[in-house]
Amino acid sequence: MKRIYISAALLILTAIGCHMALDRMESAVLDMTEYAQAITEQINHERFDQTESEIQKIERLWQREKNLFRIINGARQCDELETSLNRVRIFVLQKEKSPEALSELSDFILSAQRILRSQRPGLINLL
Amino acid sequence: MFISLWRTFFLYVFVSVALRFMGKRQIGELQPSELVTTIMISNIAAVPIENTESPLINALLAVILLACMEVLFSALALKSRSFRGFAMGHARCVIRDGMLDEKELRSLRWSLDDLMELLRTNGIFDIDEVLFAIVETNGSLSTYPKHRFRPVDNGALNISLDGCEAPPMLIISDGNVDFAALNYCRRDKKWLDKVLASEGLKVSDIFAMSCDRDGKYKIFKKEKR
Repeated sequence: MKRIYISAALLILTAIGCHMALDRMESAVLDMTEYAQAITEQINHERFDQTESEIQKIERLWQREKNLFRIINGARQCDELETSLNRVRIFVLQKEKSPEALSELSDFILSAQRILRSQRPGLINLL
Repeated sequence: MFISLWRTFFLYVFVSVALRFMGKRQIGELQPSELVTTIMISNIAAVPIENTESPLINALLAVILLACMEVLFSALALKSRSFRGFAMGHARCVIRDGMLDEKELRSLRWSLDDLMELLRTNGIFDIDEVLFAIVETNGSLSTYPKHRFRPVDNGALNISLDGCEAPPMLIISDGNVDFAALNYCRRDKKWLDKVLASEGLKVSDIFAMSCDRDGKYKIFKKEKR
C-alpha cells in the first residue's frame, strides 16, 4: 500500500514540477521576446539610448534561466539561442539601423519561441 | 519535458494494448504490462547513454512515470477484476476434460506443435495424460494430469515422516556465518561453535555448511590452495 501512495505522490510531484518548469520557461521566453521587440522598435526609430540596457536585461535573464533551459531542452538548442544572443549584442552595440541587426533580433525571437514551442504539451508535439 | 511524459504515457498504453492484441504467444513469464515496462525502461535508459546531447531529465522522468504507472496499474488490477481482465487477459483452457479445445488454440494462434512443446517442458510427452491444460495470463502453460498419471505422493501412500518439513539452509557460505539462516534453523552461535569444535574446524575453513531444523548438517570444506 505504501508503494502505491509513493507512486501516486511521485506522479503528482512530477506533473507539478513539469508544470512549474514550463511556466518559468514560458515567462522567461515571453520577457526575452518583449525586450527583443523593444530593441527592434528602438532600432527602427533609431533611438539607441535604451538599446544597451535592454540587451543587458535579456542577458541577465538568460544568465538566470539558462541552466533550467539546458536541463530541459538540452545543449544544442540553448547553444543556438546563446549564439544568436551574442550576435544580437554585437549588432545592437554598433548603434546603427542595419538589416543585419533586425534580422538577428528576429532570429533570436524565433529561436526562443521555438524552444518554448517544442516543450508545449499539444497534439502536434505529441505526434 | 511535459512532452516526454505525455509521449511515455501514450506509448505505454499503446504498446500494452498492442502486446495484448498480439496475444500470449509474445509473452513469457511476465504479464503484458510488466513486459512493456521492462522493454520501455531499457530503451529509454539507453537513449541518453548513446546520445549525450539528449537531456537526462527526460529519460529520468519517463522511467519514474513508467515505474509509478506500473505500480498503480497493478494496484488497480488487484482491486478491479474487469480491469485485470482488460490489462492482463484471462487464463484460457486449451485441454478440457482431456479434450483438446481447437477453438481456443486457434484464437491463441497456437499450433499443436506449440502446445506439445510446452507440454514437454512440463514433463508431459503424451497429450493423453492431460486432463486440463491452462494457458496462464503470462503465456505459460499449467497442466493437471489425469488421475492415473499423477505421481504418487506420501499422502496417498499414508507415509508419515518424522521430523520437520522445512528445507535445509546454508548457514555458512564461503567462510561467513548467515545468522538469519542460523536463526531460521532454530540454532545459535553456541551450537555452531560446538559443532565446529567437534569437527575440528574454524568458520574460515568452511566453504559451505547447510543445516535443517532437526540440526542435521553437512559441511563442505574449502579446498586447500
